[in-house]
Amino acid sequence: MLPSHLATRLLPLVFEDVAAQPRLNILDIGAATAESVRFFAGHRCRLQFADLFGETGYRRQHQRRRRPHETVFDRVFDFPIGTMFDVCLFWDFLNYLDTGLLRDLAQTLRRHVHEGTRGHAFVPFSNALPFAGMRFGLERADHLIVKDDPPPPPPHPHTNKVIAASFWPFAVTRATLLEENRQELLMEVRLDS
Amino acid sequence: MFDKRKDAGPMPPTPQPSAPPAAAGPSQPGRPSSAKATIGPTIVIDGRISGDEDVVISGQCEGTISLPKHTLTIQAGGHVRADVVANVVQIEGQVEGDVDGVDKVVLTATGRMEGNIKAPRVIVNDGAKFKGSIDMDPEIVDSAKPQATATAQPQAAAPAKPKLTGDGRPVQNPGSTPASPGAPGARKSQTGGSP
Repeated sequence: MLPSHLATRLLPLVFEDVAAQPRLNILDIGAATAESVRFFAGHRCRLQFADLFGETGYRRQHQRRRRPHETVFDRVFDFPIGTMFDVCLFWDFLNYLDTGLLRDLAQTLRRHVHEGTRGHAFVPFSNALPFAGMRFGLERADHLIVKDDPPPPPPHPHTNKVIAASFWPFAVTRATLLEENRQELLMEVRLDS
Repeated sequence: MFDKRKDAGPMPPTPQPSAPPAAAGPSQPGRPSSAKATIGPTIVIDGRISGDEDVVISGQCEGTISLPKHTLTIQAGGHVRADVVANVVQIEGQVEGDVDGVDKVVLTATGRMEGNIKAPRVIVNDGAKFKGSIDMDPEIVDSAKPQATATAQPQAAAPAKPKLTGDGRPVQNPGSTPASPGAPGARKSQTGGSP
């Protein structure tokens, strides 16, 4: 039984500093939800919804021969040249990628983030315990609605350490344990690390 | 951003844009401003739709749709493969293309859209499927806004930065309301904007 909501501690920090930007460019890896759109409504921002939870394209691309240095996500994202995100919301999605795809995602995003871009993701605290995938609506920065149509269980639950080792240039700057074996990660792009 | 036509199968044979008189062309003399043109479920249009009345689409349309003072409703079963400008765009069916809502864009639970939305107000209902970007920069929307409707927009003057309140909610732009946010004339993004 999924909870109906989830309180977060680190998501407010994602917006805290970048909110000074005159216009935020936000990548939401998940699907557009009513709450998330309402949360950002009326503010000078651009929301990019990738909806990768429902996207099978990256899996198909994964099986195809690719050009050197091309990742599966290069074709899936297709962002306009010059698109730079200030905030990347990954939700549970990193746990749907094996470490190879995790690096692919980071490599593709490398061209679309800048020093200081903030990221937020959920990972399990322990792989020995069950970790259910969830779909969220961003009602407030510190309060998420858990939607009642969850994605399938994540096949590659990653611990904090795996993310830290495989997701450069995103560096994990803070991690907080939540309920349901859930850990939230605050990340920041550090290009020179 | 999205190539609307790269994966598109061939559309069925289509009549000329002038074929469906109920849908295309300027308003007719004596026609009430509340008139509504309906493109029925068997109608296929390939071309440009513009006019001075509301339009309801239950069929298929490909090309461009320009109704900057009026409401465009794409009903469930309707399929639009076009770039759209309308005062209000209500999506209950399927849209592939960029949508510019002068006032607002509503994606209902049955709505499916792939493309980019520009509008001061965007409402996405649970169950809707959307892939693309939502641009909530009021200045960009203003540039596509006809003068006739400009006075209907909020006249907030000060540029506003997204800030968070104590409960984590973004602070509304000065002079705006949640229903009609925006600060026309505010400076444009220097960070992260897409060309």
